[in-house]
Amino acid sequence: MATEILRLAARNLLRNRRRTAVTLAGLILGVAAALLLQGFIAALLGFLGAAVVDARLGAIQVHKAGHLEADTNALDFALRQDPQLEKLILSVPGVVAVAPRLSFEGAIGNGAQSTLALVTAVDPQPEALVCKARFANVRGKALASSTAAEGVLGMKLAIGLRAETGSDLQLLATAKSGQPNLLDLKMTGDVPSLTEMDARRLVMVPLAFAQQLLDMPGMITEYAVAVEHQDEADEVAALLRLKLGPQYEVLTWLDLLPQLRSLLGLLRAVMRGVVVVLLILLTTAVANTMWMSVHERVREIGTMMALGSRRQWILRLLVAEAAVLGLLGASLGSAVGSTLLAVLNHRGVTFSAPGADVASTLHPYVSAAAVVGTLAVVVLATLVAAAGPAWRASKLTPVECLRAT
Amino acid sequence: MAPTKPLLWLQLLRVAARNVASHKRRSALAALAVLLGVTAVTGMRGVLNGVQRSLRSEAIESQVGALQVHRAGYMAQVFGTPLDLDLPTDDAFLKRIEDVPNVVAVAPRIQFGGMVSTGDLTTFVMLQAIDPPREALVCPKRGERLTDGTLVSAQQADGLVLSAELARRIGARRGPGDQGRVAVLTNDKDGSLNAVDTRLTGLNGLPRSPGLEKRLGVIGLSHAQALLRMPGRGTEIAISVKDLSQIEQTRAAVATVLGKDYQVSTWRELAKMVADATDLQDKVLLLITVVLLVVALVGVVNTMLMSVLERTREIGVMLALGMRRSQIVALFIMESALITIGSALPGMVVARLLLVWVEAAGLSFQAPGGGLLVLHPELSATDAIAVLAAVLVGSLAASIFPARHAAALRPVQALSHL
Repeated sequence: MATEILRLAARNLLRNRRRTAVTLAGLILGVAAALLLQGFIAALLGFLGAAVVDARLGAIQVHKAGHLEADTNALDFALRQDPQLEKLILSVPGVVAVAPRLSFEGAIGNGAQSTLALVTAVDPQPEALVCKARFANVRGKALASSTAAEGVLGMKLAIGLRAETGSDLQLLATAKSGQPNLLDLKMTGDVPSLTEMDARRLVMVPLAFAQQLLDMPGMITEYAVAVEHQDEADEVAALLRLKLGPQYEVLTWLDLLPQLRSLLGLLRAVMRGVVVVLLILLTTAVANTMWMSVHERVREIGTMMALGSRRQWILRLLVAEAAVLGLLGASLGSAVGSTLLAVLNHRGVTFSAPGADVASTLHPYVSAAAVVGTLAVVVLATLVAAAGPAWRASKLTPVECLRAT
Repeated sequence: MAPTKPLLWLQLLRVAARNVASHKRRSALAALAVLLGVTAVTGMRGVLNGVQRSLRSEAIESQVGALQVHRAGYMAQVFGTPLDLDLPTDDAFLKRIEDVPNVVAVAPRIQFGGMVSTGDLTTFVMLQAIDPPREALVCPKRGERLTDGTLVSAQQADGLVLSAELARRIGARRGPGDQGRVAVLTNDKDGSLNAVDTRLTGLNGLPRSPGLEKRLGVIGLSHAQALLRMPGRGTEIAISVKDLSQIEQTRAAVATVLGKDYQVSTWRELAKMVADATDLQDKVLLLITVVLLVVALVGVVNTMLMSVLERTREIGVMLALGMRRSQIVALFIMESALITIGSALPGMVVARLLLVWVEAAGLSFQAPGGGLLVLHPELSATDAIAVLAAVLVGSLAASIFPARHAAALRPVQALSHL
């Protein structure tokens, strides 16, 4: 019975090939576009995540309470490096690595001139576990030891200081006591950056070197924490907050960059809006097709009824037609969209982030779940579209049908 | 008697309208899709226009200016703000720039780094020296960035603006007392240390601003020139223009007037982030627009196919009665155009109303720099015409094939069709 209905539905769709083809083309285009859009947004989010989380911040940061509001006197809110605390952080489910850091402002100079720098001091081994891409783009040599007097500079900063790998530079900072202190260091490499600020101001040095410069042995400003899944950062942060208590401030990367959070929210909202509009447009296209189909087959439907076809059967036949159309269109659209995405993913799409000096490569992708979800929603939409015409057809009376011309 | 030519076209149009009206549901569904698509596309464009204009004017009118002049080689210094690559700020020099067509006003500035101190506490600062009356003409929105107090003014030449955070850090407070007194120290042009007294007149910056925004400050030009021992000199001249779309021509004209010792940059280079972001937004919206409009036109294509199919006999009659094939084609194109234009125009009206509502709701959005900007959507005639033209082209594409198919029928063939 069911197979017979499907067979009939397929045959009916083939009766008006051109109309079916046009509707299918619309469905394919719509579904493929929706998938591409999702793929690009996912890639953009992933890219931002990687650029910010894996290269710069880490998913979560643990500070002493009050650090966030402190801004210019962040060093007053330093923490003592503590293996117990590290263990406690690592014991939270979802946390995979933790790394100590010391962030502060200083001035970097080449002997002739000096300029303001945002210094991030890291312990290279644990840091590589927390920020996998921290040293990924470094040209020259990344930091290797925790104690050496060396540094990696933002690309434009290096250009501005006329420094290159091996150059001798000086780093000046105000030590805890309030006295300025100055230490020599060797530049081991430079790093292009996504933001103007980083490119012009970023200096990365080993942790112990910075502690010596600031006269703060064993002190850090934050623990950077890596999580297993980046999109679970909020949940892990909540757990950390519970575990560590109120004397610590636990912030996710989006807490640290509130503008980014609102930007991501906006991107998602725009994507949803566009997908919803697309869906409505596809629904009207299918509804139109189904109405025409009913309209031109009024006599036929009358004949079927006169010959004893049940109303329910007519209803089912028309719904089946829409379902076959929707399923076919959505599947083909998914295939087209997925193939395109696979190609784009493989080749990579060159993309320059606003303000960035280096072009990045996006690798758009969609999860299987997103493909299935899109497919299901589109098929559902075609069924909704078929409901009206199918209902109307099943309510026709044989006499009125046969009288129609 | 054959009707005259315009009359015939009018009749064709009437027939087309009757055909559209005779299939209400079908036409309505096709029209609904176009209406929705046009509403979405036009609405998004309007909102984006508002966003982009705010971002642009935020950058240009409160900070950068439309154009900037520096000594050649200054921009290549990247972060440095060298004082030896300076330029004159006298009226005669500025007049040469002012006389360039499209230039509205010019404002000399000095960018330099230094320290601010209240005696016990000292910290780094990056200062911008401005000439208050001239600056007000070039960057009229600069004052809006202040969270408290006033900008450096002509009356109070020793004024100083710092970020609220930095002021708190060094314990400076706005007001007549000693707490408002801040010393600014820096190396002058020849490298020897110098200092001047200033008075804190205003606070700028956003709470918890990321990066180094908190280290930006503003000082009076004459005061800075005394501090840096470079009277009558500056490092930068900001320019505002009347027509932003003529920016490249104006840049070239200013560059020609000043010669090769100077370098002229546009806001697109100086606020690269804003320029890049708006370009990217435009590209994405264009792509979304094309997809939405094509999908919206599927219904129209189907309607036209159906229309041809069910009127085959009618076409045969028309052909048999001597109607030209071109007139048959025109008839179907008119039908399609009636549906699309008839729905695109209301779609624009709906979009327009939505935008009015957005404007009235006073929604705001977060600028990448940190501030909240109120959204003022706007729709130019050019945008509306572009969307309308796209819909018309789509409508033509949707109807041309069915129409030609219809016109290619032979009368006998068409008449024998059931």
